[in-house]
Amino acid sequence: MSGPITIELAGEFSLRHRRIERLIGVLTPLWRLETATTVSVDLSRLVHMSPAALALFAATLRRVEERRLLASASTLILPRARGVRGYLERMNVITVGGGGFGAQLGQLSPTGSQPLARFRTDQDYPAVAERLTRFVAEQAITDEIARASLRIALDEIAENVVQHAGAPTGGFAVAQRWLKNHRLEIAVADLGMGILSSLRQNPRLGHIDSDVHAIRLALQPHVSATPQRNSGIGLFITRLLLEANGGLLFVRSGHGLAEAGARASEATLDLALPGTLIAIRVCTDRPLDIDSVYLQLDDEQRDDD
Amino acid sequence: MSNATTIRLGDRYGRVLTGRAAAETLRAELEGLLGDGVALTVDFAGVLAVSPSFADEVFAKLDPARVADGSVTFIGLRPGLASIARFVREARVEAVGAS
Repeated sequence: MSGPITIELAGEFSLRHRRIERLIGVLTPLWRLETATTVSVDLSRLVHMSPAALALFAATLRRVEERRLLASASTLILPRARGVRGYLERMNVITVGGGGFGAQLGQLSPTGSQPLARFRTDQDYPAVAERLTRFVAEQAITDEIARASLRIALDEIAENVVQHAGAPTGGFAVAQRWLKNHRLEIAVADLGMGILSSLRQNPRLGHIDSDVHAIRLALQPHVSATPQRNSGIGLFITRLLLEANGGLLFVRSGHGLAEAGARASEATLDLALPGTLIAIRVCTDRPLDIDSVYLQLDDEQRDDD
Repeated sequence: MSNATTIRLGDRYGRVLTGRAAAETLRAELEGLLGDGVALTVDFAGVLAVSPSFADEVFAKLDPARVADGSVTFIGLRPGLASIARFVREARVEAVGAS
């Protein structure tokens, strides 16, 4: 057994580069565990975790638990701030993500809405996508096509996890809405093989030389690890949807990062995320319309001809 | 053709059609009926939106020859749905041509 380790999540973890990178840095020791270890996860100074951070955190907790890497003396120190504890309770984080922390489970109990959900198969991800869409769209999105568009985006992201990630612990999806700011965020995380390894399974994509290159391609049409079965346009359509909305598509996998929409960027980063994190941020006071995106495809094909 | 049937997707699946697995099951059903000599009309009336994966299964993977010869007809498509149908179909045709 390895020596004890402490993982401290203090402060804010939002969907911003530095904060996601800080989270990845904090979680890396858990991803490197190979033998049962006494782990102390200290959330006492936690201020906030966005859906992206929650999804990755939950995936990590579940992985170490299912690989039996938590020695019996492992502890989870709950947030000191009652509001933060309440938030984690409402988001159902500890029950879905943190099964290995014994007595601490009793201190945070799930409430009805269950915004954090886990999925593993073709059979369970559609229901997760439907439930999360319904939860996050309630009061935030009244337009039927916008709700449909959101559902489709989440469905496609989740399906990618099931079809391509090869993650034994499955995928973790979280949704949250901010009515006053007219914003919602949905994130899906998995600790699978990552986009680069996945795409390289397609012999025609063996030339991809970096994680950021792989992500860039994944956001283009007709790029798939399994082109016979999959069309490779789910992420592409999601990108177009968010760009038209003025929202954000955030993709982090391996050493790669790419964003599209309100904040377009690409980067190769020092820390490796062993899997994939995809988050979308939607402006709920602006159109979210998959119909318009589909009609745009006709224009793009005409331009290509 | 010995008989014809109409499959109303809106009645069966609702306003939003998603999920490759569900679409694969549907496509298998359509192919079975076509194999039995049934002329099919697939009616999208009432369908608001279709996911790319669902569109790929139903519009692109179904034998294009059966669409060309009128064995299967798609009706009730909103303009956006017609657009994604063309997009996925043409992508599969290109992919086959490139292999």
